[in-house]
Amino acid sequence: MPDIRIVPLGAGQDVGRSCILVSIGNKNVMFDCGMHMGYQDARRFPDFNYITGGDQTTLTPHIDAVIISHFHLDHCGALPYMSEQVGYEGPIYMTMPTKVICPILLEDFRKVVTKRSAGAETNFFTSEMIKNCMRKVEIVGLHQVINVDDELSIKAYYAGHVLGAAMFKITVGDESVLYTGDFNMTPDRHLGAAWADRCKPTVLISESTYATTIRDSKRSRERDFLKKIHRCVENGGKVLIPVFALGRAQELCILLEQYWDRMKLNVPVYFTAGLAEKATNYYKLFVNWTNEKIKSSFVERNLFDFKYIKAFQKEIHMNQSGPQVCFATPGMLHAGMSLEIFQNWCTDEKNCIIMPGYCVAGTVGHRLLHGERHFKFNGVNVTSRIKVEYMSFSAHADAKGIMQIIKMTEPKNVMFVHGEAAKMEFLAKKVQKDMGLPCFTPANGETVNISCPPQIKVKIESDLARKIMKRSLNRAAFHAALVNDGNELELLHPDVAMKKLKVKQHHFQMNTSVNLPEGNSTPEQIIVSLRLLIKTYIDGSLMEKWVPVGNMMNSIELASPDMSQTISIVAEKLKTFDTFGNHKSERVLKVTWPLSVDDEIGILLSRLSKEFALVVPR
Amino acid sequence: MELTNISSNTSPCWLLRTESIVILADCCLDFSSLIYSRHHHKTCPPRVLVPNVHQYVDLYEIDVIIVSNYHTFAGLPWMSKSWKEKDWGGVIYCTLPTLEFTKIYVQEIGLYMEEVENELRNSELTDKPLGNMPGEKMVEQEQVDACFSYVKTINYGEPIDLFGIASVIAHSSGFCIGSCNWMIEIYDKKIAYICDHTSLKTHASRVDTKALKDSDILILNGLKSCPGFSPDRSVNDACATLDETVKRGGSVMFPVYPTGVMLDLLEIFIDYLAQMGRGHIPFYFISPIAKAALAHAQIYPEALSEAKKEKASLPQFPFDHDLAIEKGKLKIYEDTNEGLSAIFRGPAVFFGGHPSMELGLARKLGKDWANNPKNKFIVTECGFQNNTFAGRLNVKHAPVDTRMTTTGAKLMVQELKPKELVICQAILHTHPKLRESVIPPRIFHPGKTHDFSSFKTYRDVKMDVSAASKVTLQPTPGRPDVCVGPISGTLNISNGQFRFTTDYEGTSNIEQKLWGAMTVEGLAKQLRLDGFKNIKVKGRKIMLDGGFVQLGTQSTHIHHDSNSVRRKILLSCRKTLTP
Repeated sequence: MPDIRIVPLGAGQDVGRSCILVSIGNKNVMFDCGMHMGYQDARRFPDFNYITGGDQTTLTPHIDAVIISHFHLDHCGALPYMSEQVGYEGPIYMTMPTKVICPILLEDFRKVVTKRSAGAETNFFTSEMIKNCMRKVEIVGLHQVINVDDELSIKAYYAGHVLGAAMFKITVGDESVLYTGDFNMTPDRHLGAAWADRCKPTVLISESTYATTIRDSKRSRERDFLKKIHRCVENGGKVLIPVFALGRAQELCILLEQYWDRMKLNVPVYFTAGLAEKATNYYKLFVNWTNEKIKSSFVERNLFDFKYIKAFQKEIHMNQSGPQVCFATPGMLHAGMSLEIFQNWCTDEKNCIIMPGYCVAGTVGHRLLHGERHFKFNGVNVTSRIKVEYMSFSAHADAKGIMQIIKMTEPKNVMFVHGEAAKMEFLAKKVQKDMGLPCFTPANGETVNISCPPQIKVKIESDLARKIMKRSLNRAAFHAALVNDGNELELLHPDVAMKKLKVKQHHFQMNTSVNLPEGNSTPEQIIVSLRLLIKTYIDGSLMEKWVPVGNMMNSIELASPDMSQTISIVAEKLKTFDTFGNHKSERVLKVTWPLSVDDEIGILLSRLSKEFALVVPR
Repeated sequence: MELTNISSNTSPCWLLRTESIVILADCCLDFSSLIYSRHHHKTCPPRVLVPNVHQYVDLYEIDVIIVSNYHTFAGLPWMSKSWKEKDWGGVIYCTLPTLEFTKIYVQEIGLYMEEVENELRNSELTDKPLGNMPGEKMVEQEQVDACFSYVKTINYGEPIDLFGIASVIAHSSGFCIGSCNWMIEIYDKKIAYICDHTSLKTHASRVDTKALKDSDILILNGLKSCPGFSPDRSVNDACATLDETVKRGGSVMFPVYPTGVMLDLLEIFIDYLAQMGRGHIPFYFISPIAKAALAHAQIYPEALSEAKKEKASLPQFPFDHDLAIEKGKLKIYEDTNEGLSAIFRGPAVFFGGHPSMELGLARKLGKDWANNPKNKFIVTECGFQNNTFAGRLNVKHAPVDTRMTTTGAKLMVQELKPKELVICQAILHTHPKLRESVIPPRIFHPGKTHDFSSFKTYRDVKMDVSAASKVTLQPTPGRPDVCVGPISGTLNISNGQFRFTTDYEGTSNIEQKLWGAMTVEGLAKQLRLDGFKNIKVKGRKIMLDGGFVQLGTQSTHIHHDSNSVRRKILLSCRKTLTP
């Protein structure tokens, strides 16, 4: 059986550039192909030379499948580079929402990079490459098992996190690896909770962004967010929230809508048009990827048709006096409406800007978050006085959620990626200690080998399997004969095996004696009282359906319901001597029974020896 | 394994029964009673026919029900009462779109039947109690909801394990959104189940035929019910009739089911009239569930054709209905009481239920238009033959049935290469040539059962090498090439896979049989190896601390007062016995 080899090219003890290579036997799969927000040089992409060994070949012969968990750039940002520039012609798997939204983000990313570098980035992937790359994508439905080839299959599970996010399981033979991507174990306002069946993967590779965080902090962050907005508008300020049109924006909009409703606020809230409408359409089309509440009401009222949040009209709203809140795209303030609004509002200290996500280095958003306050827009120097807040709202599982997915799927090994080294180390120790599972936290480029003990295949006739399993739903003990006819192994019922192989049964009789308390009653008297005791066993559950047979004075015979087995109990009086040489009469019960009722007798004897002392006449 | 054809017509309803599992496949409603009612019992409230599943099986005994599409689901709510009474533990499997469209479909029929019944009750014509028709009235909403509560939705290609005994997996059948064929595996036998299959291009995702290959039994259902009509020709006919009628100032009604092929037709006819320069003619979809029916069509992009998927990725709605509504070309109303009398004067185009023309908007317009030859009904649904509308001059029969023809079915059987082909007898009325299929079909008359029990089937059990190493196999005297050994442990099942583990716990109270013979010397040696001290051999008796073993030729007596020692001795015997 194949061993498993895993090496992160990105996201090993780090967040960003997720790219994890998994080999099961001779099948190689790449989970995610992301970019790193923190770098602008070659390090922004995973080092694919690792795979090709530096020679000039493409990745196609080395990789059997590429799987993208969701549309965030740190999970798909390197995809066109990988498939079109390094070269990969094999299949790329995604869910449909990811396939639809991913190219929009890639195009956005491409524009930011090429614009920022002002032509210096001559070798960045082009729009055409994004299109060609997306042509290689095959759609995976939730729980649908896709056979990549005869040996390798993949299956997707709902992950929450963002629209279309999925966890993926790959299986080769008996071994499987489940990769969570980014996931969320608690439903939020617009998405459901991650779920997988008890699929017992050989390895579970889990993200660990919030490895040491617990859920409450998310609630307080949301309260904080609302408080900051409320305070700013109370003082007559304007709040700018630059967002990417898809993802957390919808969650924040729903959050704000509900707050506005509860607090009966009438301060206007806007969302810049364009992509926002498009985004809402994605949520309408893929309503089955949202949560139950949204699904159940979508015919009558789409939760994304907001009551308070109106379309932003530049001419009217940009310089409208008084407070307002505006969600504006793009999220990193690198161009477009959000940047334009920022230019207009940033000089007023009453105003506030809340950055709810990452910003790529070089963007205005990134500079602002790093303390810069002086900008040059269209040749004019501007000093920003706007209040700057950063709050991360990404929806990841917390420590409890990570433990939950481990319990839910029952892996044999656990691996953490997509987190900070110290935090994942802490959680890894906990997993090892509390669950007794081997837990790995490899750095980028570090290989983890997991050996999988080989499996032997035995066939069993369905009828026999059914008879065995009749006793239980998922596990049942049995005795059988294992037969090897030179070609294959088969489990047979002993009767069938003996008949088939012309082998005779070997009977076993078990014998034991039970010492009775001292007394003078005769064996016949003992048997009389014993019959009464055994009758209570037969009437009760202990020896249900056993039948007393024969009518001997000093023994009892019991036959099994089908009369094939018998148990005999003989009472005897033995004359022995005690240690002082005095006569002593010892009374013994001799019990004999066949092997097949072994345990019943064990139970019976332990009962007998306790209870008999009470009933036997002295 | 027994297979029974429960259905009395071509609508599938099969019962698959083995000793350990009972599977019901599909359960349709039959509307022929509606038409019968109109012709013969004018004062009888409408009734539908439901397959008599309970005649063949105690409903409580059914373990699993698989449903291919919304048509084949609709008969199930009639069973939920018996299920609820006995706290049924079974599951109904279908895709999410099938579940949602069934809800819509059943709700519409229920409301329509109630409407007619109320009308009859309030009618002055009948002061007598209403007559009784064969068939069933609509079940209470509570029962319908109870039925849906047993559903577990599944995706195409999602294998479902059934207690480790069987598995089912749905594959797109191309017929409508979420419709499917099934591959049922019982033990290691494969049964392909085909229902309402089309390889034509529709709005639904392409049929997945490959997945149904190499089955042991192929159950073939849902071929074209109007073999004389090609879908293209019917659509052309319908377009021509539509154009002619509105040109003369008349109105047209399409009596349709609330989803399925009507989703395509709505687009086609709106486009067609626009092309003919009659874009001003308004379209109406009038049904209590019209809004939900169209809304649901838009939200399963994964289950749609490539072209529709492409639109969704833009992102636009896959169907143009919402666009038509936005442009005011299509209007949606819940019922005919919304002050609509003005629009019925036409010319206009109406979509609404019910294809039998005995319920809903079609029934109402049927009365209103009886004396107006200018207006036309165009029946595009199938299952309602030409003669149903005999004597009604303003009805045009143009069934758009995308399902397989006889030739298509024969070709497919050839391609799928099943070992056995099973069809219901009723299908031969419309497809007599199926008899000449490459694989001669086994024909099931209504109620017929056939026992396929000649199958001997196997499952695989996996075990670790370490578990296997605890088993000693020895050659048998009769056949030295065959080895045998006793094996004890636990059989586990998870995700449909059997696994063997050697935990001896719990095996002791299970019947154990051993075989072969052993010598006194052999056993004494093994006992010493297994840690017994003070072993002494006396003839055929082996003495050990606290007890002894007496050996016969085919039997052995173990004497010891300790349970655990006896068991240890037995284990030594197991190792010593040779076949």
